[in-house]
Amino acid sequence: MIHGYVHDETADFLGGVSGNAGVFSNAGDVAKLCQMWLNGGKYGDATVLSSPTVELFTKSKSPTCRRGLGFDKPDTENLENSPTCDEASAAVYGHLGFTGTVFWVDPEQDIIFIFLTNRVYPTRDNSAFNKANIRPELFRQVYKSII
Amino acid sequence: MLKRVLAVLALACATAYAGAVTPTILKNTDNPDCRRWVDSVYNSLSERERIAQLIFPKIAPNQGASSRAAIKKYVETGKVGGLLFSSGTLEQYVEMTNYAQSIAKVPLMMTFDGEWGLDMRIKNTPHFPSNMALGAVSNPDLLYDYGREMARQCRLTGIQVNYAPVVDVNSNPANPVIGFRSFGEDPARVSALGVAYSRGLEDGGVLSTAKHFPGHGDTSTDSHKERTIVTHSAQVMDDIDLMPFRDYINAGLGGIMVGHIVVPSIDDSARPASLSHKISTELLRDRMGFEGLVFTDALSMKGARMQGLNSTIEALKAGADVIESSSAPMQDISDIYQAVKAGKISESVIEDRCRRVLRYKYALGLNNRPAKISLAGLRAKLNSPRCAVVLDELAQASITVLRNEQDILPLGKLDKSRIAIVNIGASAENNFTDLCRRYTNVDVFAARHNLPATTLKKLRDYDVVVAAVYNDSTGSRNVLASIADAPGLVTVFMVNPYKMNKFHASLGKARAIVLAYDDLPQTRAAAAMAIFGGIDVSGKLPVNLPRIAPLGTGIRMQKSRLGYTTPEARGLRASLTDSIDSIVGAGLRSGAFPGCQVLIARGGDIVFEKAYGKKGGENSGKVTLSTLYDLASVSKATGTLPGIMKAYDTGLFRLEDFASSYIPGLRGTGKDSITISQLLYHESGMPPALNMFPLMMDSTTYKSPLIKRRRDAAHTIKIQNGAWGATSARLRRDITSAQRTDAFPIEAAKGLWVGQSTIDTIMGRIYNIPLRKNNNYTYSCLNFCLLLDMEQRLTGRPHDEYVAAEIWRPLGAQHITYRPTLRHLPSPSGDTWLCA
Repeated sequence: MIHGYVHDETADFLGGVSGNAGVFSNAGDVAKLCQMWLNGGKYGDATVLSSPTVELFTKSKSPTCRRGLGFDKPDTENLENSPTCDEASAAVYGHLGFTGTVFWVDPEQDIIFIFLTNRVYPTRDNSAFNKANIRPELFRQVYKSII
Repeated sequence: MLKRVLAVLALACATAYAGAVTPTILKNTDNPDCRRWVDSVYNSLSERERIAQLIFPKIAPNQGASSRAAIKKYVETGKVGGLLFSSGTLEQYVEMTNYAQSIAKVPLMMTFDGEWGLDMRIKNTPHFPSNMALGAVSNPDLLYDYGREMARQCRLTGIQVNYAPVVDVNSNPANPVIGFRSFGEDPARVSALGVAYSRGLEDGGVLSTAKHFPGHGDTSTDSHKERTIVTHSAQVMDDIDLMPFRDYINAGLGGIMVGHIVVPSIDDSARPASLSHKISTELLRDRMGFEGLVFTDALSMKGARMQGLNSTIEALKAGADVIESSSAPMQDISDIYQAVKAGKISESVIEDRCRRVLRYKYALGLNNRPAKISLAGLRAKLNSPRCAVVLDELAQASITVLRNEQDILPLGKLDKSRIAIVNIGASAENNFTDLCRRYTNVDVFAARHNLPATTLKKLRDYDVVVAAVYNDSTGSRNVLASIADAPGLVTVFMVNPYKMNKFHASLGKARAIVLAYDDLPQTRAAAAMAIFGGIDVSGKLPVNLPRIAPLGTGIRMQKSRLGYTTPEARGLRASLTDSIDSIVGAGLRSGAFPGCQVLIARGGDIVFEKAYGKKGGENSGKVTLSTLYDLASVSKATGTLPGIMKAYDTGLFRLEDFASSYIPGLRGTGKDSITISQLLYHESGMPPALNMFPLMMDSTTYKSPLIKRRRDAAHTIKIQNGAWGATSARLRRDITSAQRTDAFPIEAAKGLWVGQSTIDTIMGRIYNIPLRKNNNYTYSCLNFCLLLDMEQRLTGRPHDEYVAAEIWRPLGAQHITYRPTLRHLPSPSGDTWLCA
């Protein structure tokens, strides 16, 4: 059930547990993490983080670049360079992955968007993926569908 | 209250008058156009045809030519006013409705028996929860929405009248014919829900029909099969049975169906209500002030028979406007004609009733011949996104928690709790168990008659056993009895409360009892969500179950986890699904990726979750929702960051701290003053990545360079476009091993084992790597390698174990993992390149 492809030698030589890569998941589990952040650290009966900590990490943004505290964020000042669709506000946080993966959380619209794929098949040079610009395009559909 | 008192007085005093309320559905009929139309039609009809307007025969639509022949006879020859079809397919309904309307002199009033939606009579159409389930719904607005949606579906299918709602107050648990068809035994709730549903139907342009007047709730016999008597006193009738009808009338609603029930306290002549002038006219019209359309229940039912009397004529004399489903409609028309000629029925009765039927036809838009119904796209229109929303909302709002000892629900401690599900009377795999699996790991068992001893033994090892019951068969009762003392027993009933009652002896030790009322996809889903906190639970038991719980019992529970619903239910257009399908489809076709998962949630609910395509090449398996993907750098935010956040939350560091305070290896490397913030913001000055190959390959095994931009004789290992590795290069054996050893206990790839010395070498290289000239934003994997390193030093725990125990597993996220299984590991050939 797992499609594993070496995309990151650092993580591999580190034995699979690495700060930069190495996590495997389905979308459902990533959604639980995202909803926990939206809930201020709680999910079900579990409080795994305090609400101020969640607020600090999900709301902070570097004064000098687009990055959040560990999260990636839209570049609202330079849309050309933004990792997500233009509709995403400055409040959005998430991350991209080389395998074609992405998640975004929009706390203002209460939206979670997750796209997981293995675009490094057949090779990591598969250029059709980037040309399709699929991740921002899919996320844009969510905003376009808001009634 | 005053109204109640007046009504009681009215019942006691035959001359009192409650004051008539004109049904709202007639509001468009109080105009010259309607009067002209009614006059002109009435004047164009012969005496027999005027009588025929009151006759609504029942026809089977599924008999092909003989259905058409019956329609031709009744409609073309008999010129009846309306029809009722029995069970058939959507195609048959549409065909026969179109045919019948095409040959009708006056457009037909098409009536329908749809107590729980079109599916009651039309196969494979939307099936709503039973009234008993809806009796648990706290918010009557949802019933209004249901009525509106049902009206939309009726209109699409060419139906103008729905013989619903049942507003009988089911005060007799042994009632063999009403039971689950009733909103329960609390007259006020039956009334409020019945009125809300009817209002929805009529606002949607379909006439509602409250039934079965004056109340079929306290009967122990079935009026389809035999004479049925309600022995309530006049006072009880008024307090309980009549309340929903009274409220219905006062709300200005338009149709009432009179039942074949004998009520001696109102009419001691032994006549069923449908044939009783005292009930159908004196009570319903005169005292309760009903001005709407009065339908008889099906006159073919045995309960309508009176020795030596023609029940059609008697029903008409009693006060009915519409004679529904008589056994011999053509004969009825002749009999009534003769009765009028003989002076037994006055002509003015026929004129009043015929004009009333015509006025209702006008109100329902039948002054014009109805447009032909097109089958094309009809099924999709019936199963609309709006329909799905209403179905979900009704099912969710009906879920009733009758017991919840020590707040076992919603199920918690998902990181530690072992949970089993036993499907009783259903197979193991259905959408109940499927949805439970999305919340956490569960082991699923199923049984219809009994559980093997080994399973019974095994079940004792679980912390929670969820027993989901799908029917009340003897087998199912035996299965539940066999696990009645299972630890942490949570029972979930997909059957109505009366059937659930048969299990009462097995419920003594149940920690929780959840009632879902019906076995529908929507109620199964709602039940699964309820036990895991995916929905708010607010249902209230609509009947008394003396051995289980009293009327009105319902423990409220707050939503605390993700639920599952449709985009439309959370303010997203239903077309979102098509947009995603189309973009993903194009991506798959272009070869941009072989497969994917897309998940969209809003407002705390997953509204879209789908797996597409394959894992890899042509022959690889299809991806499912449980397929795990290599998240690559998404790991930074889902693995490393949650660990860092937890360590921060625990007070182990501050963002302004220097990373070198916690990572000694950074000291004296020029990185002493890099802060943790800078690492998180990628503003540390670290270069983007570490080229692993020069570090990991044995420099004595190849001639420099290790990697070339173009392939040549000595460089044939393709790493990626524009990167070819030296063919002869071999891995360093001082920091890796081809076998598992104490020093190299971690299998990084097939036949490649690493250990602490490998990790130390790599991290050492990262500590000492030269910084860039400035610390402008540069995305770097190394920042996050340092963050993980720091976290492990601060917590003293391996990161994978820490983030799983502290963050992932308590959320019920049981799939997300580092090093998922050795099966996925990359396979170097021998000791050569990892990517080869």
